[in-house]
Amino acid sequence: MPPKNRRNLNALYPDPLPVKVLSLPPVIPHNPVSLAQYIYAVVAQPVLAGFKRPRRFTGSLEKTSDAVSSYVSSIYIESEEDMQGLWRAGFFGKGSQSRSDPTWELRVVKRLNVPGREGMLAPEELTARRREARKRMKEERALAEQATASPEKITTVDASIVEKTETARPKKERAEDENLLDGQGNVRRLERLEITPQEAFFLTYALDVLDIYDDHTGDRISAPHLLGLLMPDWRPDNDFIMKYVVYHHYRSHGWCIRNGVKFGVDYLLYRRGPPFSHAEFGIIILPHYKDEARSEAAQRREWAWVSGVNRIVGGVKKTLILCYVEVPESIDTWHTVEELLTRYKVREVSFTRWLPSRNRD
Amino acid sequence: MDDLDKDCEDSPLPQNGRGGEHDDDGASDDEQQDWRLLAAYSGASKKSLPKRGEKEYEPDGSHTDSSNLEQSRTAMYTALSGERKHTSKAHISGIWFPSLGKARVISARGPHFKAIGKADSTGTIFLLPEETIYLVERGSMTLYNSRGDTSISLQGCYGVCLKACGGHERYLVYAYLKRLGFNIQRASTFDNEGVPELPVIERKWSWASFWSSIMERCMSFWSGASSLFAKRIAPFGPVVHGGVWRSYSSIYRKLQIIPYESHKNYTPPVAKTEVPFRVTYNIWKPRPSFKKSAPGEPDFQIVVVNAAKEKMPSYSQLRALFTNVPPSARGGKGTENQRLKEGYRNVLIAVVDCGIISFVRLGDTSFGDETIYERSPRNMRKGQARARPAASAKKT
Repeated sequence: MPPKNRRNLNALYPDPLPVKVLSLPPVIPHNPVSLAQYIYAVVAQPVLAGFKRPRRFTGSLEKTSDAVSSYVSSIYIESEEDMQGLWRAGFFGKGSQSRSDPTWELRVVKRLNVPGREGMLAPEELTARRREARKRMKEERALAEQATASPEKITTVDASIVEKTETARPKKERAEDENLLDGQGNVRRLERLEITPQEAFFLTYALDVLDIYDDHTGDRISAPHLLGLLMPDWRPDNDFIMKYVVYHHYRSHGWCIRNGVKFGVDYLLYRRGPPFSHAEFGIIILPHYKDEARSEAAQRREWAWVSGVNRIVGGVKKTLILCYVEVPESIDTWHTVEELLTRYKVREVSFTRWLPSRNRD
Repeated sequence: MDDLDKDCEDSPLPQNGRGGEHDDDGASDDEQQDWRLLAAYSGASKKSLPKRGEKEYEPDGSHTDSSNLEQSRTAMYTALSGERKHTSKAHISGIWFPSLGKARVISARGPHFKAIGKADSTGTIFLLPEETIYLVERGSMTLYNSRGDTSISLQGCYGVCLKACGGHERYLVYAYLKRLGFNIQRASTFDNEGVPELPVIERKWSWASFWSSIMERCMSFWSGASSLFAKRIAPFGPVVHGGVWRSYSSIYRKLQIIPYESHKNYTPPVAKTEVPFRVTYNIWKPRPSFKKSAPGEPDFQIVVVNAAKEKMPSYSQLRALFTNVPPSARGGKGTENQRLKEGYRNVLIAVVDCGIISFVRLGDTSFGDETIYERSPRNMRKGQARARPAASAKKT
């Protein structure tokens, strides 16, 4: 397979986090202009940036109540611009109508040929187009090779190619298609970007770029309020905080961390993001308590279990990482969330199969 | 028989010369199944199933058929009835001493003694119980009782030696690796008494390390001093405050607040391990120059565990185990990926479940020690540009 066009990807996804960076221009000693540019960047840019409002995103939080309690059932982004912004810079969330990045609208626009927006292409279509072009190139090459070998066969093969390219994209009308358009002939907004509680808290607490509103009352939910909603029981080994510690740890070391439930693990680690490369590691979180008996109960799992997880992760060329998170005895009193988070500690053990026959020399 | 053989010849066998029952399941580990091969026969392209030739499973009554069958039958019986023998030159005798739990070799001959057995001060070679079973089992040695008058059968040999091996599963792992050609010796921590042999890490004084330590101190002083004047983080963040950021690296460094176990400048104290999570055997890769008296640093260290009795180790057990093995051969060097996958130290665990051995490698790794965010897209683009001509060259 030819390598993906990385130059293109770098231009599409230049930022690993949804925070803007103003990099300093290089100083070339024999070029006084570069020095001036540098001084301008150091002195003027912070001042100018002070006037500009930094990019912020808006999200909504949905609560559901059952007989016992109310809980956060979904946190999502609705505006198209914010969905694309959060996906492009750090690959946060998942489009509710798409496999991962929110491309539903683009796909519908393309399929229905909405006037005025013909030029747009969804990534899936780009891939399809690229594949088709590659196929055509191969067929032409085969043809060229054939031409040198036996010139009389060309005409028959040529016809089949023409036929294929014409039938490649059939136009299908669906019964629900007319409901997708509003009165003005625009596509209705049906997709939203769903983000995990960990992503939501990371964006509100750590980066402070996301404003979350309660979708019922419309009240803004601050970081402390969000933390309270996400871990109502306030146990030190609460599912949310355990996952958040791991999420923050890997994010802060430059990994793109995404949900790993499809591969039987808690998280997947991508080097830059899903479009760049496949995930390289699968993370399983195991709690580590001060109390040895409790730790053993949580960590001493069956060999069959870990072997199964490792098989799945190994089968898709990823390495299993057992991530032991040290749980503090109490988190009742604290002054800052940072102090709270520093009471946890992350330790990693890699788990791989070892084959004697492959390690003989 | 003939057909079977033919089938085997036709089928694409893996070329790396594997054998043994544990390898079947290992084949798929690194090699992915290539589904494209299957795709050609399904769905859109309506091709017929691949033809493998006719399968002859019924006698057709012809002369050729029956004579072929007769020939292969005769070949099989001839092979089975052949006398199996060992050259008397290499055959050895041993005497089992129950009190010692070892076998004394009467006269050591043959290639085995390059890797097994241990001589005492008088030059008499003694064999450990697993070495004894191994030699008896492969027919290289006849074992006699302590009076030296009766030979012990293989069953008897298992009976007397197995307990001293430390359990059946330990012998299985020993024999399996031995048959694959590995050199394998008991580790000093084979039972609960021994202390681990760890290489003494000598710290050599050099200008480079001196300067780096001075720089480190300056840096830590600076970061400490600057934190005095830094803006206090509000109770609920943000960790990354608004304002001007000059690079993503500085944002990432700011975000790094979760404590993690690092391998940089830190060697944990050696902790006490308990059987079974203690190193059982030291393993060296097959090499002709191996000397049992001076084997050098082992290539691998392995822990043998009975799956029926023991579940996965807890973190504390693993931690103790890691402190009992030396840093891996690469010692935290190598590429970033190797460091992450193999870890700074690693140890093998052979999980034996009813005779089925599965080996896993556990690596003491630390993602916090790596700075993958330092690599800018620009650098990656350069690498890509270099890689591209090579890839296209391969294609044409």
